[in-house]
Amino acid sequence: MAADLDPDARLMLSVRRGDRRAFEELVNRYKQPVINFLYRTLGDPVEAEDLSQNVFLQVFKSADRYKVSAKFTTWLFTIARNLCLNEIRRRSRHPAESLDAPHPEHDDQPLRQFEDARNSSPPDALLHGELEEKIQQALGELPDNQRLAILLCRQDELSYDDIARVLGCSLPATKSLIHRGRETLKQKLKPYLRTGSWKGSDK
Amino acid sequence: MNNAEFNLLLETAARRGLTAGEKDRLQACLASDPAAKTIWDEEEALTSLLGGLPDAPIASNFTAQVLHAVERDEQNHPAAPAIFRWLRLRRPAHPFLAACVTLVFLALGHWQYRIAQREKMAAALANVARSVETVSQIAPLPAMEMWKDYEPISRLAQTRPEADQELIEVLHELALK
Repeated sequence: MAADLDPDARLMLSVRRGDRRAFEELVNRYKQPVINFLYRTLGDPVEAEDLSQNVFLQVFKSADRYKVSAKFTTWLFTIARNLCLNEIRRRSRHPAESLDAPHPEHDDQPLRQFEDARNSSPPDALLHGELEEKIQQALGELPDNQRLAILLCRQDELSYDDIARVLGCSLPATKSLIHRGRETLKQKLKPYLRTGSWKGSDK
Repeated sequence: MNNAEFNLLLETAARRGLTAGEKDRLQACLASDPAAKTIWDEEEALTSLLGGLPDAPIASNFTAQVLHAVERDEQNHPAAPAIFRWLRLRRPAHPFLAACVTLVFLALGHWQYRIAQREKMAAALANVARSVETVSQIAPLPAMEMWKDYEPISRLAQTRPEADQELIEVLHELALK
């Protein structure tokens, strides 16, 4: 029976038996997709990394509840989506402090300082940075469920049915979310659609 | 153009590259409807933009941090006893929930006790009623007329007349004579 299982399910069975190495392998396999998903949803790399750790911690703690018949990636991204929505709700109750707010002791300095990569990067990287910023901004302006649906589409392992399960929607509703989200993105990113590529983003 | 087929090809192309057969069907759709070419080009461009987003930065020791978080969690919340694992509970119920369940059981217990007390009292009253019925059959109560003079008669029994001092003195004088 174990031979019929997909590799991830086999690893999860081992995790259920307390196998830390199996868990480590799963983390290594999916840490980048999970953090990509959370980063593009939340827009903050630090929060995305923190939340990703919580996702895998939850995977370990809930190993008993994992059903072998379910696809591991569907289960993993369901946990990620739930924690993400919790974070979005928490943010709406406790808005983040402004990055432009002055330092309490030094009025002429901002509270936090970040290096401006635009001043030190080669031209292509600057264009890429600007394009990435525009895409991230457009994604951030989408309703949460549309953004989640579009970002889940980036996970090759997830079919439309899997995405519907992660979102807790029907398949037609999921496709509708994706379609509406994409239409909005096309409007917002119209100047960048001409080339359709990351090489030369002339407006 | 078959809209349903075109939309299906759009959905498919958004997730993966088209097969040779799918590309042929796409060409047929585009040939029959030039306006579809604009839609197709925009969809393809958007897919390319989204697909080209760079990976998010990730700490080199991310996995180690996750494993450390797992160990920390296990220290703070030790593994549940075997019986809980068997019942598919990772740890005992939340203390508040446990308190609520305890209160419910206490309330049920008290309610059962009250019911039992009421039943005992009812049984006792039934016994008294049976006793009165039995006694009344053996010794019937006297007729009402007898009770008419009950009060004056009972006062007589309670009366304690004062000593007649004059009579006592006369008798004393007679005795002395």
